[in-house]
Amino acid sequence: MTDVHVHPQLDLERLHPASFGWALACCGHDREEAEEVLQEVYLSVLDNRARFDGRSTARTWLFAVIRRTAASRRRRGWRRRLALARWLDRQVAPPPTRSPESTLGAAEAASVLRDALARLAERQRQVLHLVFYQDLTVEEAALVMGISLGSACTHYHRGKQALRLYLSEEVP
Amino acid sequence: MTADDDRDLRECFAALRRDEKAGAPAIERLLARARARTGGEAFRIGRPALTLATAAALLLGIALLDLRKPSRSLPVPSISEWRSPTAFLLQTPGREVLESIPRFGEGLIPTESNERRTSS
Repeated sequence: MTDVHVHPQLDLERLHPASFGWALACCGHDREEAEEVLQEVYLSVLDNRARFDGRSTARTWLFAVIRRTAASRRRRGWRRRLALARWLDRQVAPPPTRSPESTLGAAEAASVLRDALARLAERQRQVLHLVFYQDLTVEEAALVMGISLGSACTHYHRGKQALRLYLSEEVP
Repeated sequence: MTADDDRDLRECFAALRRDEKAGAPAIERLLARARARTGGEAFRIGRPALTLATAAALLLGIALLDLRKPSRSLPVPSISEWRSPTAFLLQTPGREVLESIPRFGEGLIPTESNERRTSS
């Protein structure tokens, strides 16, 4: 078992499923890119390049690091350069395994939501993910996103309206 | 606004969470891959340095071997045989006109009529 306890309050292993969901949201549900982002984040945490000082909650801090890493990678344009390599990998990589609990109905609902979320503005998408998927408060979401509470509230309300509209369009 | 107002959205996100949680990669696999990659990067960074060091050592070895060899003295050329490498620049066109004495009835520049006259 890998030692992933770098801080008493920071349990990377326990937070991993939620971190992966947040990384997916930050990467437009690009699974490969989300895995790259998480790899980079975990390495920087384990190598002490990113240090949790306990001033915020562990989850809020980790999510902020993931968001910054994803944004930084996007800026650097690594996605473009790695696109060909990933495509080549995908030719030989096995498909992601799904647990038996994952039903077709849930998968369909998830797919519909993903499509609707893809149509939202990035900040609206992120704040809705943090509140509804990660069960954070809007205030915590603002901390993760590095924006003011007022701005987060605006994105939250507008995002909800838009998402409902898009969902109604997606569902026949 | 109560939490119940957003129940539809919460249910949608719960379905998404279940779906993504089921497909999440193992943390150990991600970390192992990241470690392997950084190790590979370190090797890639180290490789040019190693190549340069090897090349430098080889060059130094060759230089040392060359110094140890007895120096082969080149034959010294005689001063009488020496020719300036720029001597050809002194061969200007029309040089024969300047070096010969002109005669009456003969042209300075050799032409066909002059040559016929000389031969007859």
